[in-house]
Amino acid sequence: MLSLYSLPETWWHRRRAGSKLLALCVLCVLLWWWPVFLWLLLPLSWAALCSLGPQGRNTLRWLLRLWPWWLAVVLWQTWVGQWELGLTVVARWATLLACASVLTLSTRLDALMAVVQRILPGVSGRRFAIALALVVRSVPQLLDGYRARELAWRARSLRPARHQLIAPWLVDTLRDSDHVSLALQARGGSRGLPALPSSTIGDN
Amino acid sequence: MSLTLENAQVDDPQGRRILGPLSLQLSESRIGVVGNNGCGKSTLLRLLAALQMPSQGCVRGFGTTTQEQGEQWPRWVGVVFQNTDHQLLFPTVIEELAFGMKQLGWPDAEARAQQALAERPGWAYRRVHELSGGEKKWVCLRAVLLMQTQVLLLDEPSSGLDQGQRRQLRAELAGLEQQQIIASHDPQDLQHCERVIWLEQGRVRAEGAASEVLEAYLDA
Repeated sequence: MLSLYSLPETWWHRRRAGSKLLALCVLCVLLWWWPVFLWLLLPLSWAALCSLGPQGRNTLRWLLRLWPWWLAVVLWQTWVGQWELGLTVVARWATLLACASVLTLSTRLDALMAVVQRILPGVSGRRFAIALALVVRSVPQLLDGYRARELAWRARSLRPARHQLIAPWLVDTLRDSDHVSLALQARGGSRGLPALPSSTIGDN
Repeated sequence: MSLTLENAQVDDPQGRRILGPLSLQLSESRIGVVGNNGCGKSTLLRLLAALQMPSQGCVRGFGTTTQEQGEQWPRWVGVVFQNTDHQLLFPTVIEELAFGMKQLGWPDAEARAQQALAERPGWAYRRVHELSGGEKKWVCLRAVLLMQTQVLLLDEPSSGLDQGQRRQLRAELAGLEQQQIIASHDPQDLQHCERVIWLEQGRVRAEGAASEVLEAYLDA
């Protein structure tokens, strides 16, 4: 499983999944207790993301598009008289999101799942990986579906659509999920194929 | 080894008959199923793929029935769905191709998938979402073919393809060894079939040689 994994291979790709995950955990703790490191780690994390090539730069652009949300946090904290805290929270988010993106873009999903399974032995890594891959695959498809509906609305309406498209879009999404589950079932389901009983004639 | 329907019928939850009862032995290597929209073609394919169980009767094949060992069916029967967006499960081409083989427990699934992409360099890490309709169809078909099933079920295989892509797909299907059961309302997809079954309102209206059945279907 690859999912968000991106090429070309870089220095980050050659590091072990476990070490990267551990580094991310340590970073989380570090930034929580000593936020002073943020102003060093923020540019470093963004540089690391850019070093992953076009996909990394693309991800950074996506992160930067969150600016209205970040601005809202800073404004709120300024309003309650803690603008420094607002800046710290935003910088912490931006750093950790960039670091987490470096991890997912440079690590195969099955390698990450193997680490998770070592930490949590009861969790089915396979099913979790399939679920995650399905989410990654579905997001652009769902957005496209919504955009197509929006276009269809605009083609026949003088006013822009607001909440009117949400219900039919959700119904279509549920219907699509039925089809996707059939396709998954047609290739053995999320658990994979059980062992073939010896009494069965056909084989593969 | 052929698939057989024995008085198989499908009813909806309200008890209305959708398909059957049908008794068919599907032994020819190329079988076409023709009929207008809503005649039961896709339901028939779902029955044959063990994706749906008959309300009565059974689907037999490979020494067992779908009721007994439906979960094993993907080893023997591959399905190419009509809508590629419903079939593509993974974000990248290589994941999509390797998935079925991994499900079969093949340790070299990814190497085989890479091999299948030898003629299309640079495709392995392409996002399936960004592929064209014809390219998506190619990935769907290839993902199923790599599982090396004995039977291939194709639901409206040429839908969404342009003329050139249709020709290419038909040529590719003609070169395959496994049994094919093709459901389509496009007679062009079925003209090379040894046997064509014409479904109407869930029942067999006619069956026989492709030329005769398709002509009757077009005249109706």
